[in-house]
Amino acid sequence: MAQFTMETDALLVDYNYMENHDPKTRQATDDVGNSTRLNNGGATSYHESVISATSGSDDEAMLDIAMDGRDDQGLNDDHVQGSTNFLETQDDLPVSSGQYEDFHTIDWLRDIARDRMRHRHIIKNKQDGCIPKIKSAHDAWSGWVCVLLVGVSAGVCAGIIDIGTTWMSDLKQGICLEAFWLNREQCCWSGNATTFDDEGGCSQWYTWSKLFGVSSSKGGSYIIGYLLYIVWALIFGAIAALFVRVFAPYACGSGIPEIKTILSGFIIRGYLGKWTLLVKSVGMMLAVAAGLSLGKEGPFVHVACCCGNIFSYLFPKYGRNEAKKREILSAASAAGVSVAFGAPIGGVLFSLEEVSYYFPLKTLWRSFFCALMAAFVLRSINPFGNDHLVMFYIDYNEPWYIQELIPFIFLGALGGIYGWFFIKFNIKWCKYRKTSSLGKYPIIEVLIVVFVTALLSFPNSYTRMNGSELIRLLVQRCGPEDSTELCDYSRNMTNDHPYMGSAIASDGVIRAVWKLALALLFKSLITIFTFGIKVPCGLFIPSMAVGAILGRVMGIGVEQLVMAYPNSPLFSNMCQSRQICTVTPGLYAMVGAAAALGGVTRMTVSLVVIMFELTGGLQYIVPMMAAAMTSKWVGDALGREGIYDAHIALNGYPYLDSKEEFTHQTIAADVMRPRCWRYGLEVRNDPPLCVITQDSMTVDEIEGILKTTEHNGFPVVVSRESQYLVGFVLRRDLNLAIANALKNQEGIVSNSPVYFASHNTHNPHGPLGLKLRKILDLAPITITDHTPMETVVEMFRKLGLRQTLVTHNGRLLGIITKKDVLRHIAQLQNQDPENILFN
Amino acid sequence: MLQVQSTIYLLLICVAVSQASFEDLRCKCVCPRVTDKNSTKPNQAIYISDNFDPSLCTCDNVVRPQNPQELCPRCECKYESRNTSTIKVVVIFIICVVSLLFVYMLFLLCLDPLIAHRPTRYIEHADEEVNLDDPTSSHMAHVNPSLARQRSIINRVTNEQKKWKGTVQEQRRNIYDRHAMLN
Repeated sequence: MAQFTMETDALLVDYNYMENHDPKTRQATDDVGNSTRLNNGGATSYHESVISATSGSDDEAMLDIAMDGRDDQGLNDDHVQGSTNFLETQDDLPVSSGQYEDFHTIDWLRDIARDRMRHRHIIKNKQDGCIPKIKSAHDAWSGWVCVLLVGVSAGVCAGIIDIGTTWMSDLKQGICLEAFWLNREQCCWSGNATTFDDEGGCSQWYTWSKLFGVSSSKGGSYIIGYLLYIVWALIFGAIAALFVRVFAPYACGSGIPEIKTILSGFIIRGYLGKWTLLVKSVGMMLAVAAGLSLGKEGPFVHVACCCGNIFSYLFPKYGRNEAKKREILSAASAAGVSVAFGAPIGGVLFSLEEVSYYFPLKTLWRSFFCALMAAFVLRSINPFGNDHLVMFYIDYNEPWYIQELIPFIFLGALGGIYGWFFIKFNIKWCKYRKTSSLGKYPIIEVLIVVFVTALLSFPNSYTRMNGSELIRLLVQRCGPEDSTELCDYSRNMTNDHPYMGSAIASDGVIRAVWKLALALLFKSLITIFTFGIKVPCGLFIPSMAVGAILGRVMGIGVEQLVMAYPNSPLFSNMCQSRQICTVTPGLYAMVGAAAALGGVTRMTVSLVVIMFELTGGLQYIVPMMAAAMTSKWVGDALGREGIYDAHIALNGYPYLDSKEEFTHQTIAADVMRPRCWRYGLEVRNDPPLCVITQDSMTVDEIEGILKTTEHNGFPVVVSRESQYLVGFVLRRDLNLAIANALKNQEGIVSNSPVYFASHNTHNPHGPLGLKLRKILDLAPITITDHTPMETVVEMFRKLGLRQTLVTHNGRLLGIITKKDVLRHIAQLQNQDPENILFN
Repeated sequence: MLQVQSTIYLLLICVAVSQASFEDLRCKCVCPRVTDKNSTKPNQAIYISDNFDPSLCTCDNVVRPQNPQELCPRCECKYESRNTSTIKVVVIFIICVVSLLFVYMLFLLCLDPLIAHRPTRYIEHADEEVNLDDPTSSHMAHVNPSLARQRSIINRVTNEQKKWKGTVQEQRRNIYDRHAMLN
């Protein structure tokens, strides 16, 4: 039960919500209509209406109260003119329902204005007593509560996914028989009797071959292990692909291009829903466990945004206002990266640099808070049992020397080249999948990719483990506890500190380098075919893995070079006395990971900060920066856009990139619809602009226009001859207003005139007029036909417009929508403008 | 035959395995490998002990070397903790969710088409029975409030499910058929 006493004449009921099939709600709508009508019939200057509405679920959400944009002057004015016998009921229609249809762009200005009105209303009511005061306080802190909830839930989701992923990945190889819920590492975590075998297992950990009792013959156990590895991978892959197909197709892919588009003001219904959250979380675990060359870090952003969307519905301020909701989503995406890399500040910067479109300072604070909460919760869950939020991190503090910048920069360049190569071929493959018959068999494609990946990755121990583990292995320094072949150096054990400094490589390292080279080739190729299959898949981890392999190999190379010539003047400062030289191949791996990730995503600041939070100190920030910058420069020189922008372009999402400059000299008249004006009759089969006159059209005519056209809004002009602009009316509002009037208002028939004007030229003999001034936007953004497109594009970007009207000498000439702008940009870039699909 | 054998093996192993503990605390010491004079391979470097007292987490207590003065200064001991019960709960929760989803998916893929095809005939049949039967069916027809509520809840659930199916269908069309999104 919600009860509102109102002292304004604007009583706005959210009809969209009312349309839901609840009979009680319908009843309430009628009540509202009746009470208003009664009050309007009276001679009071302000209407007082008490609405009682009963709805099943959220009362708060049912009534969306807002005021018309007019000031008091306008209200009085209206009243004076309206105090004739004319029925004013339809003055009380929604200004805007705040709801958009699927695949539409939102109108930022309008939504923010709605929020401001709502806010003003609450402030005004604050004096009225205790309950409004509490309401106002609740309104003030709801943003913080919302991001708190989002942060906590994102942390919990990430914890569950992290634990599940490591467990499922290890299930491919064996099981911890006494405690099946533990993965291999956790299985061998405790116990003084723990002895490790070659593959890092222990007596409690049973590989499948050991479980089936074929451990005696070496060949047999290998074959059984191989077969079960492939079978498990296929099972996991099939379940992931089927879940995505059956429950939530939107859960596939990385999600970052779509989140970017959504945050730029686009509606994709269901993309951030409950089912998507569930299926994406489960699918991520399964897909990573299937051994595919993909990561779970990118999809964390999507998962966190789903949490953001779901929690924003608890707070009508955010849930019912798309522009405000995007503030929460920006904070949520920061939390996503924060839990993915254990980097709260990096997450905030990622949100700012890569994903967000509208990022006021208020959102920066909230994002930071949200990211910190998420990281804190995940830290408390401690999913990896290592007191870190991620599997791979650097805990050493070895120095680096100025000469090493040369290999670091070289690594950056290689990362940039890899990024360009990856983007180019991945986009080509995705285009092929989109257009050819390959796209018809998504599940078979997943199974083939899983099979090939499992088949080829098992023989090589570096590809057999999952991506995060590989990176962890590569970025580590060789200490006394490592007995892997990667750390097989011939060290002089008689030293005081045999593990300090570098050493000459033994056979094991040479073998490891060869295996790593094969792994590099395999990973970089298979990722091209993997990214884009219809399972949840991110590409942070595979690109980082490729970069880390590259870096480690190069690090070993530099290390051996220095060890071979310790007395050379080039390396003299790197070697201390007694030929102890310090080159850390693990650091090279981390730098390489940063470079490859930078080349693929073209992030800069956020990437460096993420890496700096992973390495836990400022010491390595210069190598990271050098590599990230070089990688971005090289990548940008070779190919213009990062992977996410390339995927946005591939899918034709209506995303107006605020990073790119618009440099062409076109003017508004070239872009607007209809285009006949400038080029005369040559250009034309464009239909004329569809306008509504302010007082000379009937309900029937307007319904005809609504039926025959598909525009989302109509300009209202004084008359067809003069074309002087009055305002802009949205299709949705018009539809609702007319349908409601025909149903509830007596005297409105199909040939009633419709008035948008403030003065009423009412014909006393004709049928009753329908007054729709309330739904008219009296202040649409207009430009003149000679406005340069640079300005127009800036307006669309910075103000977040949905459309603008073009005038010439004050007369309406045409309209430019966001889609027209996007088409125009695509055309100027020699792309197919029809690629942009949505409204 | 093979299956039976493997089950027996499994049982045997279950019985044979001693109850190893999976503690939440450990003390882990990492020491440089000491090469014996005889063997070429360096021996153990990691020592793990289930000490519950953090103050006892020292090289002397854990590694117990023959010559502590030589080895222990170069060892690093760390007291670590984890939470196995969280892991247990989470993994069991995940198994439950995945199996529920799997069962529901099987239902949607296999049984649902069968049920969806049947109802026309099925309802006709039920109507006939109502006409033929005397007191029991009229009793049923009389409004039993709890039953009616149940039915309305069921109706609402089916409506919701229908709506959800519609949206999933639409998403599938966008992605798998038209390839308009998420390529």
